[in-house]
Amino acid sequence: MLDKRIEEMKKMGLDARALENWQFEVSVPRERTAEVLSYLKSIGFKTFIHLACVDWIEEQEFELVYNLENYAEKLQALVKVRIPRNKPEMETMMSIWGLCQVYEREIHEFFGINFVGNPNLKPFFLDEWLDIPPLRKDFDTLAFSQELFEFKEDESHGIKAPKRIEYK
Amino acid sequence: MIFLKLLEGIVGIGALSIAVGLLFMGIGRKITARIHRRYGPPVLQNFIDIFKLFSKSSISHGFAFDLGLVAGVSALIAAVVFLPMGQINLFPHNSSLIMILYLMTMAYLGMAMGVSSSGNPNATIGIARALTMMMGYEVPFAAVIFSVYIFAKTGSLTNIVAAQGGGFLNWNMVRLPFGFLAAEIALQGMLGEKPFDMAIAPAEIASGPMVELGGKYLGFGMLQHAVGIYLETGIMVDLFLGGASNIWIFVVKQFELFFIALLINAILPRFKIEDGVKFMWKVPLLLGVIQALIVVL
Amino acid sequence: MMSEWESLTNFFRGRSFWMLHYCTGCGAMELPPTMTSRWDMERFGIIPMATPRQADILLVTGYLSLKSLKRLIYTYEQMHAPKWVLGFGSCTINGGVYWDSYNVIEKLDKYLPVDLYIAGCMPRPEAILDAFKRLRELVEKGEAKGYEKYVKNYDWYKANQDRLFKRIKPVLQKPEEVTRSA
Repeated sequence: MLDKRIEEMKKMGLDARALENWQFEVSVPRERTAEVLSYLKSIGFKTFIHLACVDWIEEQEFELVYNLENYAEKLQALVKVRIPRNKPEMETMMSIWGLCQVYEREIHEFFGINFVGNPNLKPFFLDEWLDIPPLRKDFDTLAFSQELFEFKEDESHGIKAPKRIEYK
Repeated sequence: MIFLKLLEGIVGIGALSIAVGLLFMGIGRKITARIHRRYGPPVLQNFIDIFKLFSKSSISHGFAFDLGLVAGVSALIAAVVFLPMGQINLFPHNSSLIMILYLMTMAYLGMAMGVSSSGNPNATIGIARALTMMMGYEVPFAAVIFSVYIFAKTGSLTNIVAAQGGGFLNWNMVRLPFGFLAAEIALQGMLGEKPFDMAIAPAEIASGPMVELGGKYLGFGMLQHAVGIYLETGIMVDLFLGGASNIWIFVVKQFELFFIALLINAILPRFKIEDGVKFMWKVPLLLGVIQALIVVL
Repeated sequence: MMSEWESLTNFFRGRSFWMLHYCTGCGAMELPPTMTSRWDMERFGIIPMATPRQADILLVTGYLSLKSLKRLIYTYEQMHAPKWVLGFGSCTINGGVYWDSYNVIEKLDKYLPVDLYIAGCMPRPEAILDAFKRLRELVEKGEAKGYEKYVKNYDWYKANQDRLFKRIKPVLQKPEEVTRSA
């Protein structure tokens, strides 16, 4: 079953390969995302599990990963889309699965990607947030935490500043 | 002279009912804990709780709030004063059961007024459930009282107690068994023990009427529960278990009834309010009506 | 020192703590074993109550994100005096496993007056019972006065709370320029 699906994807002109014997990934350009997702939904991948985002800061790109499941054949599909980092925008997939609205709201809050067509992109985890979106790799979470919560070194109690890890 | 005697009698009976009620609650917690296979608090724990509660600062929600809670405790103590308890009988010619039940209802309505003036929706839901449950258990209880009145041919508690003198086989429990069973189930609802404790329901509606009570007001709420236990088991002892010749045997008989209610409370879950009222209007009402028919015919 | 009436009152207060059953973080899973048959907490007079108005002790059982800290402060201010706050677990002492998180506070004592800390991640039920015994000793000596400290130093506590909740400019001014010494 897995090889059959991968062959179908390759016939459509997409780059597909198997990761495990129950999971495969497909890389699609941004314009063909809706077409590929609705095709996968029609052949049995009806369940939308998760929408994740990866910050490739060296390549200056965000990668969105749509995670779909086919319970009849017990297969998982990962649909990967790359968008540029300096102007992050994406169409919403709410017309295929209405559940995408909540996941896109979370990714908008934590990565700053604007989803065109999503009616509800209000923040819902972080109150009164005025800095850059916190899960980006150039956000220095240790410095933020020490600045806001007023960290002080205290030799008598053995509290020292921790070693830094630099993200480039 | 007689006014002074009455005053010391009323204060004495108030203190007695509060002390016995708190002691019953403490023993109840110990017995429930032993059923759960743990140790349980000391028997005098409720006295410590009352002392602590009256030493806290309190926040009031207005005049109706204070008045309602004070009315709750004082109306119940007023009802206890008219109850014949062994050799203590302050008003032997005036102990009508209907009057005692009226004062009891006035206490709960006063507390309902006080608590719902705080504005918390949990309190309103709790009060609605408590008053609906009151409507549920008063109906079979009224059928049972009807049969007891016709059987004893009198409406005064003192005479009902006197008619049961002369041995165990003269008690109304033996002569009117269906009525006793129906009144036992109604007592479980009156005391607010499971399966009929949907008014308090700590995990569902954040303890219902007691949600805004804190400090001294919660102390009043606890006192009201204590005096309520004393009064309701006392009415049942007078109606069915033949009163008593002195106050200590009276308290022991009250504890027997409370013990049965405790055992049922420790093992059963809680009814929904609709199911509770429906149950009360089916099984106990049927038993009470059967008893009434047996007595009349 | 304390008058006779006050020491009698403290004796009774120490033997009937009523705890608010407000489970803040992952430490709350140590409370059901403490309440049920194996390490029975009711024999010391401690029972869980449903609302802040009825409770004496606020048990802060774990990490506090900024959202839940705001609601916790509202809850603390609704309780009736005298009241005590127990910091439970290492997240209230110095941030615990979330010491470098952007959303979890590091030291609870800056925002609410804490009377007693219980170390551990999570503390065992025996440690919880030991802490209640220690709190009873502090109450009987008259040394647990966190609620009066809050009222007297309200400006300091409010300034700390407003630093978190009423921000008007970003915390990190220019992210790529902030450096800290190791």
